[in-house]
Amino acid sequence: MSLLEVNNLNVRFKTNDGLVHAINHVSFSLDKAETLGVVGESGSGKSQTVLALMGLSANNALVSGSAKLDGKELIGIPTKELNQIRGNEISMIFQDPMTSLNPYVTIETQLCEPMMVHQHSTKAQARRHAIDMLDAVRIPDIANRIKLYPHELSGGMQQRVMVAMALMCKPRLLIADEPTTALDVTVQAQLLKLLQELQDEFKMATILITHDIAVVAGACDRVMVMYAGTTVESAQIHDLFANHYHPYTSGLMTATPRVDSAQTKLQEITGEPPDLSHLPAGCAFSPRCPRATDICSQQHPVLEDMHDQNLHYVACFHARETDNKETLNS
Amino acid sequence: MNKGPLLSIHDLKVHFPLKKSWPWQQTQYVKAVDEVSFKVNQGEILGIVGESGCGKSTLIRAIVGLVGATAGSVIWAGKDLTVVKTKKTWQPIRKNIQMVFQDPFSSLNPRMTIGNIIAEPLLVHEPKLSVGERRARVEQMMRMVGLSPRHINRYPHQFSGGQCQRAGIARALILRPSILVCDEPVSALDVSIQAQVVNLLKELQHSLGLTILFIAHNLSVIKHISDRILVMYLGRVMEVGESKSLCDHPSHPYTKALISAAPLPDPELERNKRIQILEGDLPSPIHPPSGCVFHTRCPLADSNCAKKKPELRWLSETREVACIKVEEKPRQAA
Amino acid sequence: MEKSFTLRQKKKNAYFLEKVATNSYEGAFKGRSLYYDAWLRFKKNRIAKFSLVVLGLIIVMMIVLPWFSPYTYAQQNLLEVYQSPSAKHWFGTDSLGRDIFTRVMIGGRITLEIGFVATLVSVVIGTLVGATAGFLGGNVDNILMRIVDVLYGLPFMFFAILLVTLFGRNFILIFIAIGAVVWLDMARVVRGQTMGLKNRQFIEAAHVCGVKERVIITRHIIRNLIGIIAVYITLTVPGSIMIAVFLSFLGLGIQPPMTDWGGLISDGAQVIAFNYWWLLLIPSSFLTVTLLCFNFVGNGLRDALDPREQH
Repeated sequence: MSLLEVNNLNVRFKTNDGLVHAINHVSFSLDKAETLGVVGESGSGKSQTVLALMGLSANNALVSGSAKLDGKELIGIPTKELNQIRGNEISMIFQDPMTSLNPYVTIETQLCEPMMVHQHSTKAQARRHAIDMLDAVRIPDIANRIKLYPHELSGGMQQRVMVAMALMCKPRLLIADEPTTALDVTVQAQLLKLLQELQDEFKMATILITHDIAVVAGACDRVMVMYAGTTVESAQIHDLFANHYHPYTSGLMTATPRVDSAQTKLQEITGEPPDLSHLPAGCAFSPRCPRATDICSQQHPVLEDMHDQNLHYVACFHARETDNKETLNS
Repeated sequence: MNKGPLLSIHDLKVHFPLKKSWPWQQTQYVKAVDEVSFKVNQGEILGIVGESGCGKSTLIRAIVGLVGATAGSVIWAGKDLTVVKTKKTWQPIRKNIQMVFQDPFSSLNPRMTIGNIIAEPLLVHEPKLSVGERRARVEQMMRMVGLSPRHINRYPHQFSGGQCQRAGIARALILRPSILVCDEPVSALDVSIQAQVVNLLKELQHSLGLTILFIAHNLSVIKHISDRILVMYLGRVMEVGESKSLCDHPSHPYTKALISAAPLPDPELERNKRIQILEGDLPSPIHPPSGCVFHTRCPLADSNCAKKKPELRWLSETREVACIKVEEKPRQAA
Repeated sequence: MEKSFTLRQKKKNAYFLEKVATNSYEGAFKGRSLYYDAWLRFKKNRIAKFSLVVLGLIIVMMIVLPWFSPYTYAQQNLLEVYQSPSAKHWFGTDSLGRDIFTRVMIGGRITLEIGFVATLVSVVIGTLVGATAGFLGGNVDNILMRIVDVLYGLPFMFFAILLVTLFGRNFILIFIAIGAVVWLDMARVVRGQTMGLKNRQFIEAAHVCGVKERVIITRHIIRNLIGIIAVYITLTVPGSIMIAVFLSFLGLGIQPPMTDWGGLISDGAQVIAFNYWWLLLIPSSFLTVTLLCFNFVGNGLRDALDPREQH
């Protein structure tokens, strides 16, 4: 049985400009110790999906659907019960470490507090554990650094403290929301490597949210590509990079600049992402899609298995018609 | 394309004084840009790459005159821009060197229409234009950057990030400058939009014969757009070279680390490549390491590196490098 | 339900395709400035809109009604002292038989005048000082802000009492006393905003375009400050009214027989023990309603201009 089971999740926001459809009918599952990459551009709903799971959606959000962690429903349960799960069974790392670390509290206190709350451990136990965790995230010279305040560390180190904090209660699910976006490439490489090692060590499942498909390639087992609040493609990592059926996925692949490629012109996706309060009725990608036909602008495509070696879901009416490798090379 | 340096930067230093807490203390300086020299050829795109804090933004702000240089010179058309102080003498230079900014929203005044924003440089430099002529110029420019001229009366918040960045480019190009300086113009944009803007800049460079200085922290983007790449670290130039050969066969250990850290969108390659992890943190620009500024994190460093500052030296026709450990005859010479 | 849903979707779809075909949304070619957007948001705020209407009514009443009143504010009638509200005297009369209705209207004129004029003066001085200090920075900023700090340190009550004892009770003096206090806040707010704006990239862009400094201040800085100044005005007016009323209540305000709401409330408070409730209650309710309305309008404006703060 899978660890996390998300079924038909919807998130809508009530705003002055009308209802914003941030997430539409998103379903996915996650096995134990598996890494799922969620890729999408800004406004694709990738962050909103996990915020909804954590019960952290904004006040004007309407969340519906179901998300079960080990059979236990997460959506709609009271905050008190949710607090038992948050930080204990599910932990989260955010994009900007400085906004999620309290600047007025030492690292030690920030690390120990959740453990003392969730696991009722003593201060001494918590401190010992905190030092172990900081050691696990490879922060050098911990004994001296544990009394520091967050701003006294570099960006990469802050992000490591965030990771250590997330690991304090040995969560079964770690959610990393664009953990490397604010970091430089060399620091990003360090952190991604660290996350991978920690995942093997702690045997936890991870959801890695990113806008960079190249990050996913190195770090994830499975990928879910999102566009305008819907899942457009979902597959094992090797399958996805070998055969991507959805035109948006192939668009992302060709638009991403590569340091090792010879070609100089980037293949662009024309047009702009849709306004989430005025979503097109059919496929949300149809206005930008080179393959769009009448049906695309009239009906919602549903996720269908493409019957590769593993399950490979694509939501596109024209998924079977064209071989993407050809369009890629043309 | 006629070659020859259009802009040459010589020994440029930009040091910012730190606030002293007592008057008798010695003033300390943040050495944001230190002894940087390079040339920009007519009609080329020079990419400047480096991580945050390497001084690349300060470098180009010194070139366009937004921050004052501490020492050195920036020579354009026989004039040293670092000694031009008065507004009047800057005006004709402004017309030729324009800038595109990083944040598409923050770089446009939210209270002005797109049309007025794009027309602003015209008001300053060609005040004699009639309203109709000015509007025609703006509309032509909007078409050129891929904006619909029908949106001329819209405000920036009614556009997406990519469209705002196009408007920023239109504003920079309306005076037909010869040099366009771009400060991370695509780093705030999504991948699909980023490709659009990169392609647009390349097309404009071709059709208008522009010379572009393009800053980014993402080496992959830089490689796609530039003819030559300049790698900076802690205010100094590490390596300069032709873009493809530099990415395929980097010489400087820092360039190597940068390239190996750039993720590849291919699971096989990405999982099997060797990443040169840089240990430790970026040293403080107030007290940069002695000798080679990179030696504290360099895998090749030995005691000699801490003693002598390496000069940028000729390596091959297309390559200069500032490292004493790199062999004179690199592999790509073949 | 399912059917109506698809039908609605279809309609929406046609609409969307039309928009996609023209590559734009509704009102595409018309610009919608941020201030117009803010006005639309303000109109949706029912309390703020209602308060604005009430304020308008009060102001019109103050201006128009005294003309039709058969009494003047100073007209005494010792045969009709302490009359409770009736058809003849709507709001009753006071110890000297003066018509309270007329006095409340006339007093309101004075109170609102002080509020508006003092605010206007403080906005002009505060914006100039704040914008200069914020934009130029450095020593200019240091000197101007230290002056502001020193003025903040002045004990305001002593200052007001000193002025009154030295120069007598005077309309102009009240302006000076109030203006000296409220412009300080304005200057600080504007300085902070200007410093924030100065670091925005569009100011840098204007520098690169070669736009003159003077033009940068007017075209880029002031235009972006208008919103915050508008909000500040609606919150400063009730502030200055409060100070004016307070001074009058202490007997440092306007010279009798002319009066303002503070004076009326003070008169009423002295006789409340004899159950002459209307003398206190009526002017105080006018004051309270006016202040409340100003605050609601101000909050509405602030939310409208900065929609992020609503949550």
